[in-house]
Amino acid sequence: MVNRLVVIFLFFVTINLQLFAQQKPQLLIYCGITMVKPIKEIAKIIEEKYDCEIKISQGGSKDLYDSLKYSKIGDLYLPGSDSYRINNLKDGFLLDEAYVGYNQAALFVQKKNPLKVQGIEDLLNPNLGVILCDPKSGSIGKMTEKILKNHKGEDFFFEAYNNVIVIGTDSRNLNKALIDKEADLAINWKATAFWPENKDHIDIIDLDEKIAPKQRLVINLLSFSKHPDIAKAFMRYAQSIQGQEIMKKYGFLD
Amino acid sequence: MKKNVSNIKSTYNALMLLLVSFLVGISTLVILHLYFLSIIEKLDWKVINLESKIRIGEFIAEDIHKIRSDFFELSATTSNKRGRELIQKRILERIEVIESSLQILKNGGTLERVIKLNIAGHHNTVKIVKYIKQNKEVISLEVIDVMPKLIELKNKIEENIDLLEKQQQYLRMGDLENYASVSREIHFFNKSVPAYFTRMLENVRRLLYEGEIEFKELQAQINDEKNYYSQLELAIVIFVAFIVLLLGFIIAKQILKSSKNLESLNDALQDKMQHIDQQRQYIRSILDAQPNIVLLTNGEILIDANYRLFEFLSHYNDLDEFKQEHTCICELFEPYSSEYLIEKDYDGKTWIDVVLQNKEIKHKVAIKNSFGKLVHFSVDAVEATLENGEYLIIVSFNDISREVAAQLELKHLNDNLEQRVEAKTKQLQELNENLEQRVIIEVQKNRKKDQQMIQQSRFAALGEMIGNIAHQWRQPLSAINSTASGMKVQLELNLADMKDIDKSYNKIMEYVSFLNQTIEDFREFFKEDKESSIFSVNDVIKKAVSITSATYKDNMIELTLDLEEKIFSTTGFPNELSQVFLNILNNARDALIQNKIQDKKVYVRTYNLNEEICIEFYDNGLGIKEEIIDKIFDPYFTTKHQSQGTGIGLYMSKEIVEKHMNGKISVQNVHKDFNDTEYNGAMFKVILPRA
Repeated sequence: MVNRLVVIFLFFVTINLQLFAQQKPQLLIYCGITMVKPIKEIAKIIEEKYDCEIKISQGGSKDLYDSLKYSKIGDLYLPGSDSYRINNLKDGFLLDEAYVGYNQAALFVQKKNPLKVQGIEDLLNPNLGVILCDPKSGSIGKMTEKILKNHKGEDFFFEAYNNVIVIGTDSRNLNKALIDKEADLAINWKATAFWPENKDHIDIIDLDEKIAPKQRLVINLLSFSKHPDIAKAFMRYAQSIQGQEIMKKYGFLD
Repeated sequence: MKKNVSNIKSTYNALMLLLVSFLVGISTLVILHLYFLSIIEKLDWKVINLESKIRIGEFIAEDIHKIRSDFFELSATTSNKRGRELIQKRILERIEVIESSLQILKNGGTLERVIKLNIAGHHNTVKIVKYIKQNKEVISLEVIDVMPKLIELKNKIEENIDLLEKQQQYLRMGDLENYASVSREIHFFNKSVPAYFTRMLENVRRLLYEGEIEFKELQAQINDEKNYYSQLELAIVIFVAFIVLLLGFIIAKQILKSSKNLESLNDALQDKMQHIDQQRQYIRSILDAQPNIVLLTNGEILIDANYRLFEFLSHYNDLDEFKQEHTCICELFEPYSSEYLIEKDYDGKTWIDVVLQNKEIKHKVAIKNSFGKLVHFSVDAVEATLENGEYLIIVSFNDISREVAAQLELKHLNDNLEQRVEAKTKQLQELNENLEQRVIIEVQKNRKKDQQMIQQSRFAALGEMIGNIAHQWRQPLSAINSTASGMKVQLELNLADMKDIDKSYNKIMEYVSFLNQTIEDFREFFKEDKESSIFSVNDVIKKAVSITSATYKDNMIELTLDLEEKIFSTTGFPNELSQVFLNILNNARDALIQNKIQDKKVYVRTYNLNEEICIEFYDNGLGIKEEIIDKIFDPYFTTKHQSQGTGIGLYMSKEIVEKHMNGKISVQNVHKDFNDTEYNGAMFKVILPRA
């Protein structure tokens, strides 16, 4: 009889243990939307390795920085360009950095370039549906501003933006507009053109590196990280051979 | 009985176990069900909470749309400061609403949303949404994402108003160049605003999307939990049902077993009752069948009495009637003599105590029967304790009236006893004297009979002897005859000289001497042993063999002697023993001839064994039939034809060996090896004491 009661007790204990299992450590990564794919892949590995849960807040790099600055919550920040680190270091939220790859912008056109887009000058062509990213939102927006100003100064920048049919918020919006045939021409991060969901719809036209220099991708440890050990482990893994292989797979490394 | 008690105990235990199992099973189910309900309740609550969250998200999205609309209204329609201030105020109010909604999402709380109605009497209605943030540690991405944008939105309104005012100002001043520049900025500003709202809406939609995902997950979890607990409950129900059924089966089996045991016990009890009843009847029958009066008492009260009492005291029909008048039978004891017990105090003891404590004494009482005749009884009493602890004294009254009468008679006779004894003694003496003479006569008769039998045996032996002599003599007589005839022929033919005659003569004398010796041997054999002497058994055997050698030879019987050289001497009558051996040898010969044995063999062996001499006679005459082997030493028993045997040879042999020589003679059938061949035959064994 006692044995039977013990079995029932153990049964309930097991159920309770399952139901009220201790919550795993939770990490938050602010990731520029372009790099979400490899970061998710690495996050999965780290989750298994450190028995933790990693949440990813994705969006434009500036928006993400605004979010982390406002909330002061989170562990890592990966913007689409290292300019966000350089410009915001003064706030004191960004600590250690880890270089994990680079971004380079290019002109994006419909597959096989049916409208015969020649180059950057076509951004002013009123017969083309041009879409550009908001410079105050994503890293590609900021890069676009830089490219346009590098090319022919501020007027060209305004004229180009004046010619757009819509201003996008991040690289994914830009690609979606091209795939949905809402736009014919965009400036976007080159790596995304080769992803499976995009490569059948998009072709690229390379830009001169002088006006469109490569942008370093650095993961930043946040000063208010609650799990800096795991965050650093994440950074180390991203820099490791395995991590670099993943970044390479998505076109962020040669 | 023990088995039954054990069964009842185990049935009780099984019943208790059944009850406990049932209660535990039901309690487990109830607890589990309550636990399950609480989990489902929590999950339901989670669903409701999630719905609230989604609802709040929807409100925020709605507000963003309104702000967007306001924003464009501000850019497109306002032409004076007052109008811009009104729209700005409205936008800021909406931003506050969104902020408060986000705060509820972040920390939990109740959102009250006033919805304007265009119904008479009902200007608006209030929607209340309650959201509980269970774990405030959990990051709310929507709050993190949207809040900074609201701040940015406020800046954008400021920026927009500032640009619009600048445009108005340049227009009023007629500064067309700056007007155009500001207009381009406003244009660029307005172009980037949709992207900004899109981002904000995307963030809120993510909230809705994640909410839906979470909602689906929650539904799936609820379904999983429901399935899990349903299965668990079903498993417990099946398990409890199985246990209950199993225990029920065991209990039913045990009850059946107990019932059977009870039935058999009941049967056994009835049998026992019947048996007891029978025994009671037997005891009553036994008591009543006793020729004496038997009473049962516990020392104080008369318990029972057999029928003889009421036969003796026929004026009472039963014990109750008797007990109405008497408490003790001793009330009827008559003071016949001092030896007789009566109802009185024997030094603090009752008459029954006296009987019980002096069992070696024959106690007597005298009671008058219903006809007034005085009857004498001897009294015996025994104590008994029944199984139930009841103490009983069984008193037996034996009618000894005849003995008493006989004693009286004896006493009378005792007076003339001496004279009668003398007369009888004389008669006995006379008889004794006659008896001695008769014994002597009978002994003499027996001796004569023995002698006759021995003589008869001797005559029989004589007959055998004559046969043997004939055989013994046949060869020497034939030799004498041939020698004499030869000599005569030689003399007639004048061929013999004195030397030959002398040689023949000597030869004939040798034969005569042999014949003479034979006669001596036979005479010696028939000489009666007057006195016992010490002699060698081997010599006697050799003599007997010598006598039978001729007949053995004639019948081609191979006789082997295996005699112990240092054989002990024995004491007795050698001629009588010789007769024994001769008998055995002749019987062996006859058996071999009678059974037509081809390779006839007789083997005689002597040896010392401890302080005795053993003589064994083996033959291969197939032995003696088992059914008669025990009779062959009986007198006048023979297996031979009447003309051949008298049936006293072996009887006399036994008499001689066992009575005259203090030995033993026996016979048995044996398997004997003669020259590596096994034969069946008889073996006579004579054992004689050492001298």
